Amino acid sequence: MSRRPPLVPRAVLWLLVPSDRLDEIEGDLLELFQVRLEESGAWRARLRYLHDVLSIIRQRRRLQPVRPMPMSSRPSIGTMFLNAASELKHATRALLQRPSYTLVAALTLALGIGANVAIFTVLNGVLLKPLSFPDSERIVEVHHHAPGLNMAEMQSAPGMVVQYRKNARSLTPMAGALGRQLNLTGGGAPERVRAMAVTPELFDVLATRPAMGRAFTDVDAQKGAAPVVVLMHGLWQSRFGGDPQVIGKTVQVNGQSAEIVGVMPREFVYPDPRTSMLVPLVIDPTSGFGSFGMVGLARLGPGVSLDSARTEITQLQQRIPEWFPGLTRQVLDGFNWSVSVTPLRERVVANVSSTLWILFGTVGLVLLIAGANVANLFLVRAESRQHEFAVRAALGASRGRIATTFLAESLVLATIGGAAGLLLALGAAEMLVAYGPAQVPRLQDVRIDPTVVAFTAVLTLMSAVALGLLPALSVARRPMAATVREGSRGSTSGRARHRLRHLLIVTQVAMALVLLVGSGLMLRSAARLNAVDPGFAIDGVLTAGVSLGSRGDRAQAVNFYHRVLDEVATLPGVEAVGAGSTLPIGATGLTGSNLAIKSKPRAETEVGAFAMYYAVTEGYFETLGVRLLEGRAPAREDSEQQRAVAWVNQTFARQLFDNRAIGDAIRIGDRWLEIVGVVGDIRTFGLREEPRPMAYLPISDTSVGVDVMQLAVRTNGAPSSLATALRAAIDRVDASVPLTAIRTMDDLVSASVAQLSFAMTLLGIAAALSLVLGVVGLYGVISYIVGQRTAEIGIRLALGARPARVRAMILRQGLSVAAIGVVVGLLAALAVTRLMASMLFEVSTRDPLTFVAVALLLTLVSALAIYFPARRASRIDPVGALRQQG
Amino acid sequence: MFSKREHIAMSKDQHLGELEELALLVVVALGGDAYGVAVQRRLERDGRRRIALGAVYAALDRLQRKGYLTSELGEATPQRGGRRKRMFAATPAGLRELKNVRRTRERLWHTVEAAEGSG
Repeated sequence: MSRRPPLVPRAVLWLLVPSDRLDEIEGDLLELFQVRLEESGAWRARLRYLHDVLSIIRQRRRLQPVRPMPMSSRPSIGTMFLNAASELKHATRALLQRPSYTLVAALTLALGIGANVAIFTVLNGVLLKPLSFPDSERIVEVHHHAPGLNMAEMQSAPGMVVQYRKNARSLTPMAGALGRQLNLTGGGAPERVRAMAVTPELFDVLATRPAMGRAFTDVDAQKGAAPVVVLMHGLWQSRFGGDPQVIGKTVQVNGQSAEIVGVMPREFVYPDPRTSMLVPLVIDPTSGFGSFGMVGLARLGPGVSLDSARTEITQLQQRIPEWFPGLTRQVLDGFNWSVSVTPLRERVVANVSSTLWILFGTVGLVLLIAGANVANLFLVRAESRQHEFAVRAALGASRGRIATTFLAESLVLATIGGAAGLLLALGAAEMLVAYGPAQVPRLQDVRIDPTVVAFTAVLTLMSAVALGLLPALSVARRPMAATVREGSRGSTSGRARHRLRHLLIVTQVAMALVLLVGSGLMLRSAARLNAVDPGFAIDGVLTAGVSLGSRGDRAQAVNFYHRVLDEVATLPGVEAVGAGSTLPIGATGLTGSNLAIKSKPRAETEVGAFAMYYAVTEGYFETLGVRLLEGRAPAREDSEQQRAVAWVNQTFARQLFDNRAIGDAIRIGDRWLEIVGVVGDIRTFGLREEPRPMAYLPISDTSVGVDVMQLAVRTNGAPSSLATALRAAIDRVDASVPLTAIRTMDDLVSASVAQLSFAMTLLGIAAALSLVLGVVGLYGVISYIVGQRTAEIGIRLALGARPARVRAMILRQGLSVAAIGVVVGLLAALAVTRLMASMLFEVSTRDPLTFVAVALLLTLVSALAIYFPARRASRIDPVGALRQQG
Repeated sequence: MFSKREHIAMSKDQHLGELEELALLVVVALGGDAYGVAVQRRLERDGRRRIALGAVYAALDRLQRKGYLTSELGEATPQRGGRRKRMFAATPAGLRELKNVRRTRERLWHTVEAAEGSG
């Protein structure tokens, strides 16, 4: 048995007994323990010790020393806990007694916190969370760049993938993947699905195998192997009804019979939720370089770092001339060739990353503005309770205790605001996901998860601390006794008292200005974008994809499309119809390469002109309203007779033919094509891009694919009403050909700017919110200050000052504070808008028009907000005011 | 100093509870050596009852608040692990009150004995 008192009761003693009595009590207990140890033995001694400790704990409240000791003696931890609990209780009660104040403050906080949490939810799901594959941080994409060819991003090519597989030790395994659109028939209505053609290594790179059946093997990926497919979970459910016996069944893919060998797990998504099927990708190691556009995915080898992989891959580029004799060092340098090894997640989210961070910063500003408003409310409350606090302090409450009161109230308010904000964010995040532009990747990963909840908690806590400390700081600085005597009079000290308030106003105005400038810049961008001539008509045109697939030969395909054009032309309301392998604002189905120009022969080693080209039928340009500038338009005979002709756009003609294109020829494939017409530029790559050199070929030319053609139909009625008739028309030609993506041109164009307009809408909402909050805050503060100075103003009026002068004085003083805010805001905006540069179009980040307009707007609105309290001040009844003070 | 009404009110709060009376007696009896442990031991021995240290403290503190005791921190001893002990001493008011209480008891006992004697 130990000769020391038991530890556990001692520890409890330490926690619960006031520290200034602890020492003597412990001494007494120890002495008693020793005595009893000798008298009755260890067990008895310990038992009595416990008994005594319990009795002391029971009596601890009475153990306050009689002589008033300075309250700065540290209370025990347990007492602090109890104090905190009682403060929270009081705070809740006090808040409930003033429902309107509590409601306004909590709602404001809820808005601010909720907006932040909503954006963070999206940020977390899209940018921060790792991809859902096992060990996803080690999956990388290898992609190449050739800015010298006007191709900043080319991804990979089959030849490169083969060489990397052989020679790159840091990347194992390596897979190739290619997006495909395939026709599915058999087992349901003809359907066009998005699929990925992948090499068998993909399942190892992504470390996910099918949930049912098997993955692809090397046998499947050989030329001439029996066709097989692996379904994604969604397609398995939608087309095959979740049939558990689906493995081994067959389905027609582009007219060929393919066996279903596997079904992927439900959570598996690659590369996006719309891809519903995997097919094997055949890479022939003997067939040379191949074309770019293939995704090269790999996993970093065990223990390999990203940097060492990058080094190795960069070094391997030196061996390209050895692998592909046509690509000499000189040629590669002409391309400005380089390679990147990028983690897959970065690749997936690259195009939205900056937008999302900007949005995050925006709502952060809104939260600050909202917080400033609530802080003002707090200050008002604190000042109205000055008297109470002074009395408490005189009675011995420490500054710490009083500060705790503020903190308790702000904690309760912030918690209510935070909880409500979380609920708001739940709804907002769902809306963002539902109405967000389709180009935002990983929307399926966006949800409220523990990280988001933790973020909310941290934000709530930070708000509580910031809000609670503010009034505590301002109250604690003034000597308590003076406050009790002071009452609410005193105008000279008034200026100093209001300094904190003025600071808050300056901050609010400045931040509102930054947000408004951001919004304004985006508005101007949108206006500029609208003003861009797309080069084609947007109204009255319906588009649809017609996918014949690869059956039959080219002559049969040409015949098919001509029959489709004829059939559609007979529909009521149709003014013109045409087809092409690409639509404006589509940029799919294009091929690009270096072309030789007959009038400009070049040496073998020179890099020729680069242009993109695609196939068009007669009527294409007319239907789309593209202007014919020179020569003639495409006619049916061009494809019926397989003429070697081509058309070029204005940029091509200007850049590469010196505006003398007609009669010249370009070499595509193995033929020289005579230029017979020049058409206006079409903004194929979106309204924001400069037009590039483009050439157009008849659909009979085998250099371009016609598996899928985009139909364009001009109607004098509403385009969407034509959809059913269109489908019927195609059916009449060939019932097994699916019609896909029936959209009006109007919708297509809107979708292309969707991301930008989405960001603009959100920014606009934030700016509007900040303006409202700022104005309300300004009005509140000025009103309050006027109220505080009622006596002083009353005296002035009584002494003969004109009401107009009083009004002017208040206006002047208020506006000077707001003006400081405007200036600070302008400076801040100049610095901050630089971050938005990527989102703007033809508008400088320092656009003077926007800055000046916003500054004026804000000043005007501030003046309005100050005007009303100023008017009230001028109407103060001097007699009443003075009597109030007396 | 105080009005008559307040004096009576104060007196109301100044009555001694049973344990307080015993504790005060013990403190006086112990002379200069009255501290928590000593008071508790003496109370247990002479009062023939188990008293927890907490109850002792409570009583001593109440006495102090009523102005019948003063206290101050005394010396430390090794048995206490070097901790100081709080020493109590009765005030004149405390002694007066004890005498009052004793007189009251004697009067009442007198009445009882008289009743028994005559009964």
